[in-house]
Amino acid sequence: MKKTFLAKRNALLSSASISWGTGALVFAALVLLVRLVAPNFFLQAFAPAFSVSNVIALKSHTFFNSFSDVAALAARNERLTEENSALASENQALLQKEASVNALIGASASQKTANPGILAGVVAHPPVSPYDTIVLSVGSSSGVMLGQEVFGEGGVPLGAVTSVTAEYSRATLFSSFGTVTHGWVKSADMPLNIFGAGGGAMSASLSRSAGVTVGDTVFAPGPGMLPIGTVVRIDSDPSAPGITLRIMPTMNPSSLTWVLLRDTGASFRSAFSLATSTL
Amino acid sequence: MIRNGILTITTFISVLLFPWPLSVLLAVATSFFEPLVPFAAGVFADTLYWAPQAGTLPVFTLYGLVLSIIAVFVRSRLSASIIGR
Repeated sequence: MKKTFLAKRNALLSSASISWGTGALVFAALVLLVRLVAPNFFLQAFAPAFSVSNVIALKSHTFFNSFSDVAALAARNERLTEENSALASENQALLQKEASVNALIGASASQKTANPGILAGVVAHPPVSPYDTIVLSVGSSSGVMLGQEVFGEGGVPLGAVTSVTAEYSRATLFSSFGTVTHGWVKSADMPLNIFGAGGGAMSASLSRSAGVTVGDTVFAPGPGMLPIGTVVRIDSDPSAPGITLRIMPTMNPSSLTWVLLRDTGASFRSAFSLATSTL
Repeated sequence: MIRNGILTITTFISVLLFPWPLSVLLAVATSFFEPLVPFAAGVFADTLYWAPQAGTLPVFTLYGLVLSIIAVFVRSRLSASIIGR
């Protein structure tokens, strides 16, 4: 007589019924739980992967760029090299000027280095981090605080620190979608509400009579006049009373490798919408 | 089954290592075989990169959920029809 074998199965959980999709969802939920419960450990665990993905993004960009017009790339490279040399000499001249001014007013060395800021490596940046946020390799143990302003090379403001863990922090860039920053455009000396448009871009609306032109520089609050971007296009709808400025950032967020964090005061914090979550 | 596993794992690795457009393409391709994977990959991507302070919704989770719902709907319609019998 043939013996019938019936496998004992759990009605709720059976290994035979778990699909790859269900397993993937459980895995994603577990990773989410780790981020919620232990955000610092989460970033420690994923920081190496972020670094690898940054390298891959850079290499793939270089690879796809190699298909571009070589002559145009060479001309652009030459132009940028010349611009770089001009800016380097201008920088030297400004440093000498600063030294002479300091000598005139008698500023001491301690005053000159009163607020040097915190140097932070960038663990993840766009396009790896698609929300226009960057993950930084310093946290509260290094003195990072919520609301500190993030500066790129040459003192270009990039955004603000919006969450801090013990060893890592996240900064939201001005270009992050939905972010509103108060700034002004130089040519018209007009205050602006600068809206993050995502993908490194920003936009702002202004009156038609303001006289803003393509190429004008846009500034953000901070120590001095700090350029955050340039007007690259002006959208003008005849039926609308104003114009929309399309602003490209001065510094490409995809090429960030390090930033400087500085506390620039309450004026900046109030100019940048902040949350207090440590996520 | 092995194909589904390879596609699922590749999608997750892509979310971690490659720019997001490639991950989206992989998630769409995987949804033909594993409808839950786009939602799972969306949750994973937002867990890695979304910051509440960024001022936007966790769009990868939302779009992943929409894609998964569409995939489940399409699969249910196909399996109920005479196509493939």
